[in-house]
Amino acid sequence: MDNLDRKIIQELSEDARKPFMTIAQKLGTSTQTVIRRYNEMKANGTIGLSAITIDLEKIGYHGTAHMLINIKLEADSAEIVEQLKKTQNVIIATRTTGSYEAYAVLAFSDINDLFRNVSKIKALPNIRKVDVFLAVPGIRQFPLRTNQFNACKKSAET
Amino acid sequence: MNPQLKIDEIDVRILEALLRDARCNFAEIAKNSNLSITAIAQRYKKMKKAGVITGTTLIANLENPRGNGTLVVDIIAEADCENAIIKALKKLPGVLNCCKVIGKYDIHAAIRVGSLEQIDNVSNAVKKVRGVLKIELTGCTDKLDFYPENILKTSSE
Repeated sequence: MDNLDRKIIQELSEDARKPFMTIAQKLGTSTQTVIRRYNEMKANGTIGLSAITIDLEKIGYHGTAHMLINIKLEADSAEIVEQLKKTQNVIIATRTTGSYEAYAVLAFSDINDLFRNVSKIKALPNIRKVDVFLAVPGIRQFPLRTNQFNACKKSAET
Repeated sequence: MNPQLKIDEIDVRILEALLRDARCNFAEIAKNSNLSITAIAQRYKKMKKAGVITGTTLIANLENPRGNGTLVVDIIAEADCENAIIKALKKLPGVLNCCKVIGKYDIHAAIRVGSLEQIDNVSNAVKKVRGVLKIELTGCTDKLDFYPENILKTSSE
């Protein structure tokens, strides 16, 4: 990863839809170079996610809850996470290491909706315990944003 | 309550494509929906204006493309210290989400980490914050993916 890559990422972190031509002009390079670098970084995983963000409230979700999940010892956590991923209202699901075996984030429209969805997850096979945390305030921007580019900006300037 | 923008099937299709890739091809959506590219672009603008689409996000693994781990941090805090702890946490590099929670813990955060060393840095930094009584670290072993298909629905549903 060189300085040009960093600068491209810095530009895209401001607006992931910024035209490649604008970026190229600003960085004093050709549009083709920017496109090539971008495609390379997407292919090798340097750029993990590039997406729009949406306001969950505006599409009817007024709260989010985090869940840390314990599964039965003999169960396969990968299988359970696969099921979580396919569950309505689940926006994040991953296996974990530590005191819990899985982590998931749920978006809900109201308390009844939360109750219904948590019950549904508790009823999945091989789940032992679900610790639920209500976020205050809930996540509104989906997917999440990160502040990592503040640090990136500094290193790109030097 | 604010009148909400009616979202139809095609809007859902546009949102889903853009949530997978901010630079997705409008021409492809247009072709699949039997609409013109202009019509797709208009819908995109309409959703932006209504505040449904709020901007863009980019998550990158700067140091190491393979080191894209996420650490979930849960904290039990002394009373009235939550806001100060959250403020301190939000300054750590790679924080994705950090908020007060109701439940077994008081504060919940998700932080991007690229190496064991970074996990150690996060853990030490959190421990030093005044008011932190107990921290629980949980490492995510899968890549942190998002599932827009589980929440996108048309307004009538």
